[in-house]
Formats: sequence, structure tokens, C-alpha cells
Amino acid sequence: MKWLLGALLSAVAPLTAQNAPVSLPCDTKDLAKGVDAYRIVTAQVVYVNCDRTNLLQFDTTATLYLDAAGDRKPVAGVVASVKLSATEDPWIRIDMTKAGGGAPLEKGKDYELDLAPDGRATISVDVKRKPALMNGPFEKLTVSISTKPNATIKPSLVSSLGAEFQIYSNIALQPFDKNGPQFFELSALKTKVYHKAISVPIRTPVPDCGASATCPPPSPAEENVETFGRAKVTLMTDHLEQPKATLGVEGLRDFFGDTLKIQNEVTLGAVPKTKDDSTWYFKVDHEAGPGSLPGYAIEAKIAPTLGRPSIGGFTWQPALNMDIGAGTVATVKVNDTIVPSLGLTQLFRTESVGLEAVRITPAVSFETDKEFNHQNLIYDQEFQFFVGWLSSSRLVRAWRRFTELKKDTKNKDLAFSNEFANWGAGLQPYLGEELGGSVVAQTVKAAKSNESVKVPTYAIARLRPKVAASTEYKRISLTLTAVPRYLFTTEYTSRQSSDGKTIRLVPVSGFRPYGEAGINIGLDQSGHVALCTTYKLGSEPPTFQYTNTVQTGLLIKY
Amino acid sequence: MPTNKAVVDVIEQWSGQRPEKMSQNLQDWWNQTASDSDHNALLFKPDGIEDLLKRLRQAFPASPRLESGDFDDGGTVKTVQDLADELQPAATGAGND
Repeated sequence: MKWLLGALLSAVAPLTAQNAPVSLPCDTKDLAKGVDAYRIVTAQVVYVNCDRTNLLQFDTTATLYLDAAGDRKPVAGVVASVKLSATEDPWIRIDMTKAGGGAPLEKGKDYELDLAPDGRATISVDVKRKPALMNGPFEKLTVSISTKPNATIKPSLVSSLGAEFQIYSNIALQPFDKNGPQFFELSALKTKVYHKAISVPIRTPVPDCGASATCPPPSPAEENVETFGRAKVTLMTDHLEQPKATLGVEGLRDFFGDTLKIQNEVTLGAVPKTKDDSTWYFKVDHEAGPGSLPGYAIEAKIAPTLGRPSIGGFTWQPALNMDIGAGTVATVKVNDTIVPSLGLTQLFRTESVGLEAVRITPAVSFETDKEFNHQNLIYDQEFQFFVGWLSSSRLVRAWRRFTELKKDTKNKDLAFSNEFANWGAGLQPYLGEELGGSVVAQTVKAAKSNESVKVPTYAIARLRPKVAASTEYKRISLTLTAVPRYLFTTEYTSRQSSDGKTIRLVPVSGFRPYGEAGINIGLDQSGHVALCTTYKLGSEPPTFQYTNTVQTGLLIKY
Repeated sequence: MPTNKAVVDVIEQWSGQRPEKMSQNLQDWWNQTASDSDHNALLFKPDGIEDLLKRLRQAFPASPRLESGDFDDGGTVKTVQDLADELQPAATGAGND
């Protein structure tokens, strides 16, 4: 942050002289091991990624050395000038010329570039949308580059996982035929298995103009330097399914005419093959209630958000909500709900600090129970409200504390951790409506006799406000969900006697609240796995069975 | 073709602040800028990602279409620089056919 301090001081009171040299605003360290550290475009032109998003001017000189560190030697006769690639772009461009002509850079060698070797530079940065001139002297910055023909192959986007790959080379590619490069995977026996593929550049191949000639400086496509040295490879007939593979491409040449060595391990399996961003929740509970033998209950929710297709910005969201009992639970009633649904969802941000956003989720759902005694078809319209002042999560509080601590220069090496905050809390309101009806009249039999009752069809019109609140202290969280549901029509369900021998028809209407209070103790730092105890009280459709129970179990949620 | 500046502009509109570095982790940035912002109540996943995808589609309709899975642990987009890289469309009709 020394450079930022320098810029701020310069903006307030321009300095005429400064004793201690300040760092150049060029952070090559963070990108040194990545694929976007630098680009060698010709034997005269190199781009270096400074990682900064606020550069307005970056004029200085550079010195070129052959080899690295203690063994390095200046390349005689080379003069280099440095300029910013484009305003607020992280890339700087270094143009080199060699006295008497010829190429400053030769193929297959390691180099170092010293930026601002004499401590002089004209640097301007954006500080709070105003230009601020930085005054020197500046510390010399050494950047390592190599003209050795190495490149990296990476997987592409989730939508084309296993079928499309990206090549990143720090040296610009020569033009190539789309059928020229050969894609292969390395088998377990270390033999190359070739796959039919086509390859296209990401915009900017650079033609060879002769190793010793002075080449015309190419312009990056629409000022985008990253596009140099990049290509996309698409498999034509195969699709790699394995979680990891060693892949390679042969036949691509860099600007110097060398064949690029492209072979590395690629991870393909970490993303679900369904291409869905899965959101799921699974809870197995041990259950107890007043005067009852223990039983078990299973609660599950699967709600993947599909990336595509979408309609008017809404994304498909199939879901399955299930809360059923298993085993003997004596007289204690458990929820008996199975609700698959297919909906669309979209978040609408207001960009205000009060009501920050509303998520609208229209869906068609099918309500039933594990005996299949109810078959309700429902149009479910839900609104989820995000209110800023109702939320103060532990994570956001931890980041706020971390940001405050980082302002102190003593803490410049501090790393973020959730432990910077101990507690958090939030409350989220929802409003839903459920419209539809029972589609089939059912005859329901008693479990231990031949007695039966006919449950007629009925219309459904329900209002479903909901509030979900949570408080977290370290790995312990308390949750409370309240659903004061109101039934505008009379619905019907059946009730058995406790001995299972008689059964009767029961009308249900009016206020039918349901609530849950729980305590979760996280077993992992991220909170995906937790021990939980939940108290459930009230009734839920379609059975509206009155529940008053405590469940303890293991919760896994992602 | 999205420039780095154009991508950072979208990130600034999305999060309310302009990241200083291209290597800035997007999830960290969302959480870091949440306090006293207009997205204090929105989680990065799924809400922040969904909103970012919508903005990217509007700003760069010709770019490859990202999905929420691209921001997952196994996805390729972690930082602003990753995002700028993935948004670059391949050349149409490029190469020596």
C-alpha cells in the first residue's frame, strides 16, 4: 500500500522531493504463477500485468537482462520504454529496440526486466475517481519473463466441461489452421490418446516476420492484451468424463516459431455433471415426544438452480421438499409432506439500502404424503424479501472487522478468517400464496381395520407469510421459522385413531400456523455439516397433522 | 470483446465499489463490500452470482455465457482476472481454414 499512500500524499500536497523510494504501482507477484503474468508479443514488445485497475499513466524506462538473479547480464544495446496499455488497464507495454537492429529477445531464453532502473517514472493513478500524480523516486521493479515455449491447458466453462479447453501461452501464437493442432489425453499407460478437435485463436495470432527482423508492433484486439497467446480447443466427437486427466495439445507454434509444449493435469470432476448449481439439504433425525417411543424422521430439500435455459431472465428451479417420519413414532405425529415442484426464479435488486432485493419464484407444485393419500396440484407464488437492516451475518461482520484491522500498517500481512467475528444475526420475510385444488377424490383406509373414508376433491386458496430468523455465535446457530398460514377454503384430510382401527374425515380451514426452532452446532468450519435439534409445532399441508415434537439429528447442507 | 476496464466497471456496479486489483477474489469482494451496502442481506451464492450473471449478459451479450457453476469451487472463475479471461469470445472464422 506504499504506492497508494504516496499517491494520496501527492494528491493533497505535491512533493518536490522525496528521500525514500516508493514502490511502483505494479503488483506482478500475485500473478507470477498464473497464466496472465505477461505476454511476449514480438521479439521487441512485451506486456506485463500490473494487476492494478486504477492506472492512468505509467511512463518509465526498463533494462533488459539475460538469465536471472545473480547470473544475469545486461543485453547490450537494448533500450526499452514503458507505457500503459490503456487507461485503467492493468497491462503495461514495454517496447524494446536494439542498437544496430535485430531482435532484443531470442527464443528459448530466460530474461529479467528492471522497470524504472534509475528510479524515475511518471505515474498517475485514479484515487476516488480523481487522477493523482505519484512522485518518485521509485523502487526498481524486476520482472521475470521467458521465451521458452511453454503453455498451459485449462478446462473451459461448466456448460462445455470436458468438451472445450483453453490454451494460455505467455508468448503470442502464430496463425494456425483450425484442424492443425492435435489434442490428446495421456492414458494410464502413459500413451497419447488423440481426440478429434478444432482449435481457434482468441482473437490475436501474430505472424512470424523473421527472427532477426524488426516486426511491426501488433495491436491487441480492442485493447485486450490477454487475448495474445490464447486459443480454444473444442472436441468434435468425444467428451471427457473422468474427474482428472492429463491433457495436451501438439502443433501450436509461438511467435518465435517454436512448437509449444502443452501438457498438464486438468481437473474436470469437481463441478456436477448435470451442470447444475446444486443446493441441497438432508437431515436424518432421531425423534422423541411426550409419552412416546423414539422414532426417526427424514427431512430433505433439493433445489438446484439451472443455469439455462431461462425465460425473461427467470431461471428454472426444480425442487423437492420432503419431511416424513419413518419407523414407529407411537402417538407422536410427524409431518408427512412430499412436495415436488417446478418453478422459475429471479432476483430483482433495488440497489437501495433498505429493501435490497426481492426474489420472485412462481412454481407449480404437487403436494402429497408418503401414503399418497393426497394429490394436490398447486400454483405457488413466493416473494422473498431481502432487507439490509434485518441482516448482520457473521461473515459480513468478520469482513468489516478485517477491513478495519488492515487499515493499520502493522496488520498488512493479516489474512482473513471467519474468526474475526463471533456472532451474527438475520431475519428474512417471505410472502407466498398457494392456489389450486385436490385433483382426485381418495378413499383412505385405516391401518389396522377395513374401515375407510372418502376424502373428496376440494379447492385450495392459502396465504403463506413466513419469517426465518437466525442467530449465530461461532459454530452454534439458533434458527426460528414461523409460518402463520391461512386457509381461505375448506380442505379435507383424514385422521386415524391412535390404535389405527378407526378413521374419520376432518375439514381444515382458517388459521393453520406452523413453526420450527432449532439449534445447530457446526462440525466443520464452513458449517456444511452440523448436529441439530429441532422443535416443531403446528401443522403443514397436505395432511395438516398437528405436530409437537423434538428431533435431533445430523444436518448436511450445501 | 470486453476490456478489463469494462469488466471492472460491471464489478463496481455489482458490488458498489471498484476493486483495486484484477486478482481480487470475487466472493471475498462481495462479502468485503457488503457492510453498509445495498447487498448486505444478499449471499454471494446464489444471489450475488445470479445478479452478476444478469449484469454480464447485459453488458457483454457476445461473450461466452457463464453459469453459476463457473463460480463454484470446481469452476474456473475465482477472480476479476479470471472473469475477464472467460468473457473473451473466440475468433469467428479465425485460423487458416
